[in-house]
Amino acid sequence: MTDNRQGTPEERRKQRFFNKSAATSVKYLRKIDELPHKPASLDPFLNILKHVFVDMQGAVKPAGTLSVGTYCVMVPPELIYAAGAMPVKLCGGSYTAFNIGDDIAPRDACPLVKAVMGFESIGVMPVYRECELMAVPITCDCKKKLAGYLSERRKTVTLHVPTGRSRDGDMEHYVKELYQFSEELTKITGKPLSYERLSWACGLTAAAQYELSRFIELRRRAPLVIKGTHYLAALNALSYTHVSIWTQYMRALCDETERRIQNGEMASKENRPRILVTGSPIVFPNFKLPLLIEEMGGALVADETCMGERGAYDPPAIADQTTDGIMRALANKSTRPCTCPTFTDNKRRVYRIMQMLEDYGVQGVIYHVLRGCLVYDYEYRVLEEEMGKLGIPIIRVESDYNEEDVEQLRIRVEAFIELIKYGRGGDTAVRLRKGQR
Amino acid sequence: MKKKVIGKILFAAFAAALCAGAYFAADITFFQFGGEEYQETGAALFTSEWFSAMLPFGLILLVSAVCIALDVLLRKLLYKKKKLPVGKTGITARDKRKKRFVFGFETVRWGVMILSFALLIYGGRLFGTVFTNVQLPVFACPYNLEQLTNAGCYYFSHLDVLFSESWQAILAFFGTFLVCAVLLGRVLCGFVCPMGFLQDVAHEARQALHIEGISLNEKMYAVLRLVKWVMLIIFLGVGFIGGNFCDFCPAAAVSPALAGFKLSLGLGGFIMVIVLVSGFFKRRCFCNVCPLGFILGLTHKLSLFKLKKNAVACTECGACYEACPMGIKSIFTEREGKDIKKLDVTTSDCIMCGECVRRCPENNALAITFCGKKIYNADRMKFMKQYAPKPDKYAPFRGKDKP
Ligand code: SF4
Ligand code: SF4
Ligand code: SF4
Ligand code: SF4
Ligand code: SF4
Repeated sequence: MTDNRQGTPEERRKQRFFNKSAATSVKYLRKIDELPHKPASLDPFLNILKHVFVDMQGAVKPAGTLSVGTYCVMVPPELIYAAGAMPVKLCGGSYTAFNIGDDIAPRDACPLVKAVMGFESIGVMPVYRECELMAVPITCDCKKKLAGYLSERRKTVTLHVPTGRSRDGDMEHYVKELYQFSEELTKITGKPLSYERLSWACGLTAAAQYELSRFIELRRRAPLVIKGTHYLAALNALSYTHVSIWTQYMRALCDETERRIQNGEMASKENRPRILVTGSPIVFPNFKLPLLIEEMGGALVADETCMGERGAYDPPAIADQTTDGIMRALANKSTRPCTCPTFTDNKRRVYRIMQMLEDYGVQGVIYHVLRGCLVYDYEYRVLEEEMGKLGIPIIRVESDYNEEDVEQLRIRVEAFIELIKYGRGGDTAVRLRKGQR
Repeated sequence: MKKKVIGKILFAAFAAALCAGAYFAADITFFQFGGEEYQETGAALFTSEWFSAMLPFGLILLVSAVCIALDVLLRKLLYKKKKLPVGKTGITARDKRKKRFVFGFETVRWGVMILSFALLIYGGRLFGTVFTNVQLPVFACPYNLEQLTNAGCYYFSHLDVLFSESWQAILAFFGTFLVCAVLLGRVLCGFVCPMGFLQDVAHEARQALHIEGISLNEKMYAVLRLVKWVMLIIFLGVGFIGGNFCDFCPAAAVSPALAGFKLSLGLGGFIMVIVLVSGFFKRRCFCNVCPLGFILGLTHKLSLFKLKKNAVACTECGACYEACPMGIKSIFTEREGKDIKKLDVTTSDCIMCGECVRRCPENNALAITFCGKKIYNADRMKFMKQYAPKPDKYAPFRGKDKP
């Protein structure tokens, strides 16, 4: 580390930021690394996170590829790849950046958006700096204001997401938004939209989703074969990697997982309570919740969060092989299956979670709410009711981007895991899983 | 408000014109060929006689192709002038990316369609008319006297003729119809009907050329439904008031010609052009207004083929709706019911083409069942295989894949 007393105050501040945020990232990377039963093929993913958050380098991509910052899974990456650029998901998880953003955003804003604003205002992280364009879908209120904040500083496109999905007009509206977005992309890359490019880009992401689906199938067969935290890290890495590179890594991970299942090597013991995490996004380095679950003797078998599996889960179903057909498929897959709570009607999220309970034999649900994330908090009650009917225990844990609440979280998570271990929950899950097979 | 009134008036005018056209169809002839008398046997294949019988159909294909080309050109001009979004200007495109072949329900369906197309046209030559009493309710025109079976469309559109037949004939007609409708229902549309086959071929041609089509939404499907009612009334009723549905039936231009039967073309030829062009831009457009298909669908509650949905597995991604040629939205929106894991989402419009299951990315979310047994089930890995390249072709930066 360089001497802090050199340079202007501004430079010193930036240097302090670098040091501090790198230190947090190193700590969490080490914790992830030290979790037992780490597959060897996970290292490339962790190296990506290290590359971006410790070495402070840009996204992992072939030389000369432009980056486009996206702030939600509803921006279809296919469109960006088709324009010859790559998407970087910039939802922030940094505690250091959060502290800076805390002075910019109102007190009750969510920490994720505060972290993004912090990154933007200090302006040193290469992943953020190198983005030629920012794409912000207008989902929750914080994202809306974030879009305004960003557009004062950077070239920003907003995508107006419909709030409902039952009318055909909603989807057609999003198709128009995507066309506009694509025009903006063309302006920065100089490559116009064409069927050939779109189809090529869809092939690129389809390869990644093929490997991801393979992994999901494997995990449905043996939910305990990998630690959920490791899996989350692999999916977080996708946000900062060109998809073709990620696909290769994922393929290796699938192959290793397949071997492990064959040899019966599991990452957790059979008697560990199987936990599903859902709720607000879990963004590296804010990995305290998944780490706590596994440290406290739970097995994180499934996650339903935007930087986790859901981030790359829904594939476009191209029924009409034309430019417009693909655009429609992209608009469709970005909005309709999305379980984001910013939509007015979101029954599908409950169903999705019910399906996951069955697929992974989940015994308890931990509902993660970032302080100030209203929409997710709203949906807790709905989910609690449904889980009550199924007899699956659920708790809501609220956290912020700092390490002060770790001990308190630890107590709650531990109590919850004990409750499942020695109390109710167990047989329901067994019943659910048996019912399916 | 005003728009709505004008729309209604336009629609009424259209319906009236259609009815009038139906009535006077026999008098409007744009292509007279051969005599009005029945030809007893079809011409041998590839003889000059056969070619002359094929001429009308060839003309129809030619006119359709010209229409499509004109439409594409016109749209290109329009888009350029209006400076519409970039994507819209790429009306045609080539795609060098090779798709992976995945064997599935789709393959079987195409096999059956081609086979039944051939059998319905040439089957009689090979095996003689085997099922004389079977009135298969599809548009395989019985003007082709050498069919394997009879086609039910004739009696449906000539109920007056039917009711003057002997009671045995009437019974045989309704009997075979009921058996077909209950056993198969609109599976006949998805697998057997030659008109359906031709429309699917037109659709595949568009897919190969990557020409942009017309995607319909709820409102437009509602209009098509109205057209269907008009068609139904004409189809069933025109015989009673002295008209003849066959005079403007599009199907008359196809199977008789292919089998070598000379037939004069009336309005039917025009309508066939419409069927082909609209089927090119919108998959199975005619099936959406087809009266015979509608009648076949009435018994869907009794049919042994069912479309089942597991609402829990479904993510409501809408892919099935997007893929469905019949625009059935309920398969995507249906989510409540007695057993949410086994919802019956079959509707009278469903032709059991399996497109929705093919495009469904969730395991077990949709399935076609026969007698309660799943015969085609949605499968995520199979779904992904349709789109992903083979794993050994992943590295895109060295290959020539890079655009
Ligand atoms: S939670 Fe909603 S707004 Fe946030 S990234 Fe996910 S889909 Fe987007
Ligand atoms: S012309 Fe049409 S309705 Fe008449 S018999 Fe032939 S196919 Fe059937
Ligand atoms: S709807 Fe009519 S034209 Fe279409 S396949 Fe069925 S019977 Fe044939
Ligand atoms: S395609 Fe499958 S998952 Fe998507 S809405 Fe239809 S049934 Fe549901
Ligand atoms: S619901 Fe499915 S099987 Fe029925 S017509 Fe639509 S796509 Fe075909």
